[in-house]
Amino acid sequence: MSLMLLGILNSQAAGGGGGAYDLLETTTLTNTANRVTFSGLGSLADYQHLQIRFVARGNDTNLYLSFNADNDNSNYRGHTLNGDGTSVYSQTSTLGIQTSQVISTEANIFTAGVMDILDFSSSKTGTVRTLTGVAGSSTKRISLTLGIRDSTASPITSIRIDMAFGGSGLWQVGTRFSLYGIKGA
Amino acid sequence: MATPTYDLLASTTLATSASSVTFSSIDQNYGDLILVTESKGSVGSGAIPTRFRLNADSGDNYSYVLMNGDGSSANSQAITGNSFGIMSGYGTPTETQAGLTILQIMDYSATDKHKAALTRANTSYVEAIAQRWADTSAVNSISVFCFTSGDNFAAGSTFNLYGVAK
Repeated sequence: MSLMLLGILNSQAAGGGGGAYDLLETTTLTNTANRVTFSGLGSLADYQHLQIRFVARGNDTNLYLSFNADNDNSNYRGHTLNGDGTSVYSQTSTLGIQTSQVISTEANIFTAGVMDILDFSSSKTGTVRTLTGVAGSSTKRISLTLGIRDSTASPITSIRIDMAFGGSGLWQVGTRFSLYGIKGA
Repeated sequence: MATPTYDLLASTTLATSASSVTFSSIDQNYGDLILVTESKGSVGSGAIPTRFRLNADSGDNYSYVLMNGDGSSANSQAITGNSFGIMSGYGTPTETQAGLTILQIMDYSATDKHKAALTRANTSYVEAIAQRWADTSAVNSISVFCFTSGDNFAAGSTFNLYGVAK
């Protein structure tokens, strides 16, 4: 597993052993960054599913997820159920797996999220479900998302988490992404 | 060996009815806290709105945004400046309807951010809730309580607190 960032605090634990739910890697930003990448996932033979838990703040409100250095967002799609404090509505995305308009841009206020990446090591299309939300002063949103990668069917070996489309934004200091492995039979 | 990741920190099963449950002196060596509760109201309580406070803070420092559905309609609500967090929104446990709640408090031991939480609650509603405690202090105690004076959680209600390493 490797880390593709500068200015980070990083803790890693060797895979294998332990329980059925293991911490694999954590990235906490000490400098702003366009993206966080978890790589080397092909070596995680002990695990069937992955989970990413995060607290995040950016200079844009959208998070984009991509796999295996395939950064063509047209190869991903998803749909979301959102609540914004006034109404509940659904959105469809044909441009990336994204959690839209839910990342905090406010000082001290961080968005919380849990992303499950199911059967990541199989030759399936890659299914992601997320629960993300923030009760900010200006940004108020709770979202459930389902996303898939439908262009290729290959094991997921790396995960890239972009701040805004194409990583054009900046994750802010204090943002933290932790990767966990969940064992199967 | 991998790092111990998802550990039970404390567990309470009520032997007799009680109006609140408090976990204190919480281990600060984890990244996130997950509180899983399954509760009913004691006989005569009726519906029991259930709330929580962090570090016994009763100031107006809690905010939330929720969405839910009850089988016929979907709703969203946002509240700022409450004196408590919520274990569920529109739905509440009753004598016969258990309230099942998973409350996740992220980066609870950090001191550089307000505390963000995600909740999934199932009562007569299915709900998802984002919450914020507008305080940068590390969380060292959680108190879950019946909002209405005289209400009680029924005996047998369970409250389990887990720590997730980061």
